[in-house]
Amino acid sequence: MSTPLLEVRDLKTHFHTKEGIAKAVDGISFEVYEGASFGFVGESGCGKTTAALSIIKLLPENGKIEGGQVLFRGEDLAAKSDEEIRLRRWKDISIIFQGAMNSLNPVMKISKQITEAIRLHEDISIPESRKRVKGLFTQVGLNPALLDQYPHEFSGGMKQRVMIALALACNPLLVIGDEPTTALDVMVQAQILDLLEDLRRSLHLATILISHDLSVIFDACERLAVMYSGKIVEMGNSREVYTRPAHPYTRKLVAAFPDLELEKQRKTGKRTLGKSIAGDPPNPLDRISGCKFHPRCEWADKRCSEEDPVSMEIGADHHVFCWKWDKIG
Amino acid sequence: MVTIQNLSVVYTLKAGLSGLFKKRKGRTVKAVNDLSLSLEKGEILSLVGESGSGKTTTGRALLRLIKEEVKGTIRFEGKDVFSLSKQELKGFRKKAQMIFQDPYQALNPRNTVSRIVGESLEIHHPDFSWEKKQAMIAEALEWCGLKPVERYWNRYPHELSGGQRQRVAIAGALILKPQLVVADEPVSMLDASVRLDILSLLNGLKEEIGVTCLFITHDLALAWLISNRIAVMFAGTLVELGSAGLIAEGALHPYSKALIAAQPSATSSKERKRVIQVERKEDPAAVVFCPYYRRCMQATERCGKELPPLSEINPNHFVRCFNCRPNS
Amino acid sequence: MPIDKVTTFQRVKNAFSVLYGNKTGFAGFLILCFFLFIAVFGPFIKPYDIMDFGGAEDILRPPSFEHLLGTDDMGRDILGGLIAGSRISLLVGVMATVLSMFLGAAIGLGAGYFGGFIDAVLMRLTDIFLVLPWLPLVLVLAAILGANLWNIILVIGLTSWAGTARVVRAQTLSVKERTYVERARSLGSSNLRVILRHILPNVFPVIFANTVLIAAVAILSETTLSFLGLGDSLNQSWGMMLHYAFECGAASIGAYWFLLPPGICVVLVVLGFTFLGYALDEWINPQIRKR
Repeated sequence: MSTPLLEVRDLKTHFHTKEGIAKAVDGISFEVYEGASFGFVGESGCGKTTAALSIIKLLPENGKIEGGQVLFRGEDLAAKSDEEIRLRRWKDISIIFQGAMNSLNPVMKISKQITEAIRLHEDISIPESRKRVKGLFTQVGLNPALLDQYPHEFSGGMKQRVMIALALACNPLLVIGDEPTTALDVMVQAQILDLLEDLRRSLHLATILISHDLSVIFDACERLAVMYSGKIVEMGNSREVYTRPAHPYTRKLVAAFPDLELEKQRKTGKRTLGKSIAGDPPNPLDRISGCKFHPRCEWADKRCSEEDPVSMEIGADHHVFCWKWDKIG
Repeated sequence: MVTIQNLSVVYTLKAGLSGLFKKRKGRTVKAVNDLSLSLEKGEILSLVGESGSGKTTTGRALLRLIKEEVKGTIRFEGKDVFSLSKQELKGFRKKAQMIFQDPYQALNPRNTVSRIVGESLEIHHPDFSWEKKQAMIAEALEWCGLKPVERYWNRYPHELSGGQRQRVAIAGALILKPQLVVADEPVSMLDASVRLDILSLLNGLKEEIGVTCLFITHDLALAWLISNRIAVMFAGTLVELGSAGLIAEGALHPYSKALIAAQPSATSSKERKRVIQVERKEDPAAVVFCPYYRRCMQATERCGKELPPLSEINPNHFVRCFNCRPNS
Repeated sequence: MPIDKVTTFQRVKNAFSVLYGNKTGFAGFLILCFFLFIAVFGPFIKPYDIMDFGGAEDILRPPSFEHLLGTDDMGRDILGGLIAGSRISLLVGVMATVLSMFLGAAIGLGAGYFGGFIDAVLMRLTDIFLVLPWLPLVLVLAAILGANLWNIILVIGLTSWAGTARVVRAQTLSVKERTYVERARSLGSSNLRVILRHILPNVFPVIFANTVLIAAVAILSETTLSFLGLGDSLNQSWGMMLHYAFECGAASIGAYWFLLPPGICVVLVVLGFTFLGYALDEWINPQIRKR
């Protein structure tokens, strides 16, 4: 395999709050290859957004990368200064924030917002950048004539296309999308996923998609990592993980998405409501010894409560972080 | 148990400045357009559609929670919901409850759990003794899985997780054992791992208490999982109605089929196109036409000039389309 | 997530931690506590009789051991006057504020909740009171009603509710649309019940924050009225002291001990309320709080 575009090694990001240190990301390692699609999936509080923000060091005031490396084309971004990273953002790696489409400035024309963003990173004239924006609009399936409209005149799906256009503005190598389809209808979501896939192929773009929706990640990403409480619990090729989920959390999570269930049960015609996972997702401030999932796991034993599981390779491009993965029925 | 006949709800948007100068009335939006539907006692019927399909408006209209003008009739146990006297309306509210989408907004942040759950008791049965009220609240909390009851009694909503808040809301809706429950996207704002439990709870309503439920959702697969029948809505109109299994596996209306194709799939090729749509303009002179005409892959000329009726294409399977043939 | 029991004690502790976290607010709180203490216990520590005129040689004496802040134009001890005056100033300020708060809240709630015709009428009334020039209005009312303590309270209360009404109405409009209000209605709740049980408790923080600022304004208003001579001469407030100070030409004589202390006290109390208002802003809007 070629060298990965992005290689993260043992990344740790902590938040310093009044109530203590929250280990939002507690030692994760993964790789994203050029032009590949990678997904992070997990529930609220698992650290997936923090992991993504850590790549480009866009953390809030009280967040800090406490350890690990973020190797982008061989260079460690985590070790770079704020100024150095700032130059990298948007040009090499860009990000579509969660709910970004709702933070477009309502009193500024869309064209102005994008041209402004471009000119912040590149030294080109306004007419030049306008031309580029027109090109971007076409690329994302928007009519260039709508360039000078205001955000409120766009629908949700259209606004998200604008955010994608913004992310592509400086021809990055990697685009990170944080919950890119969460607030959208099923049809619009499908259109956006279609668009992202088209762009990935035509521009040889690497994408990292973050979502709490496992079905979206299985569908749209070639490889994925399931996160729980700041750690990766299972990682690998999507089809592999879907067919043979190894970690107890992954298995239970798969049962919680009706579209996945429908797919599976459609052939048999049966309908069964699975059981939820007992308990609640943990607070990042809590200190749980050993495997973070063990309090909610029905197969957990003494070792699980004491030792943090390590990566176990259980297939071609399939790793799991569980001591009991092969003992589970 | 519930019969909706020719329900139409029209929203009038404010005219704005241009209205002031041009003396134009605000634009009207037909949220629900001539909808007819009935709910059998003890069933869970899902109303499936995207935002703007009119499903939420229908649910709210059913419980008389909308301020807009409503045309048509809604009968609950034979009586017209819109011509109830003030006294009768209060009785209706006892029997017909709503579960809201957002558990973070649906509970008064300044009330404790016990007060929230006991609110309908205070409204409808102020005469009940304090002990009786406490017992009923405790029963409702236990039924919804909030055990031990003492742990939750004096909690405030912000101290609870999303799933727990939704349970509190459900307990508050169930305490007087209603006959009809309208659930408006009750799990869409909850974490995935918690959803199944809430759904089981709602399913249990049907099984154990015999409550009739109108389940509103944008997720066709979710509707399939929990309901007896599914009604698919598009742009305020009912386009397909049938049993859950039938719709999920053999939907006939082009929109239903498009919805199913648009769902994320773990097994399909990454290269497939999830959405195949057309953009079509209807004839400006046309007064009635199929609401899905603009985007339909199978539309013919007739679809742009006439509104298809809802016809029973197979036993208990209704489709509103000129171009659908019954299954052989 | 382990659920620990949160007692009232802990809730009060939480409120205090927000207060303590905001240094300005905490300073304001301390200032007000100080003056409250003075107002309640002061007259017992240093009794003061308004009729305790001194002899001719006691008039306008500068600060000395006997009279720590000197004497006024009637030979009375200024420090004692300050302490006694704190009671009056604070009393008028607080009571006028309470009146203003009730009026403003009731009108704002009614207008916001019912909307339509009621809203239009109440808001026009509010607009009138907002727009009328305050000082002439207050002077006229005070002159008509007569210059005693209760009339002053009434006058200030009647002329300062409009701002609160506006703010309360805005908040009511926002709360009215919240899901839990709709839920209450879907349960069969009556309008009155919805207002008292659901709207009012959630509008209250805004009312309270606004009230604290109104208190500052009320005290200033009372000082102004008294300074202009419309105060109650039997119950001497700081404003009255300033009034007498000016009347007897303390400025030109250079009797700073008569002019400065009441003025400084008024400024401090007003600042105290204003600073406290900042902390309340944070309490209401947890997003402003520093992490």
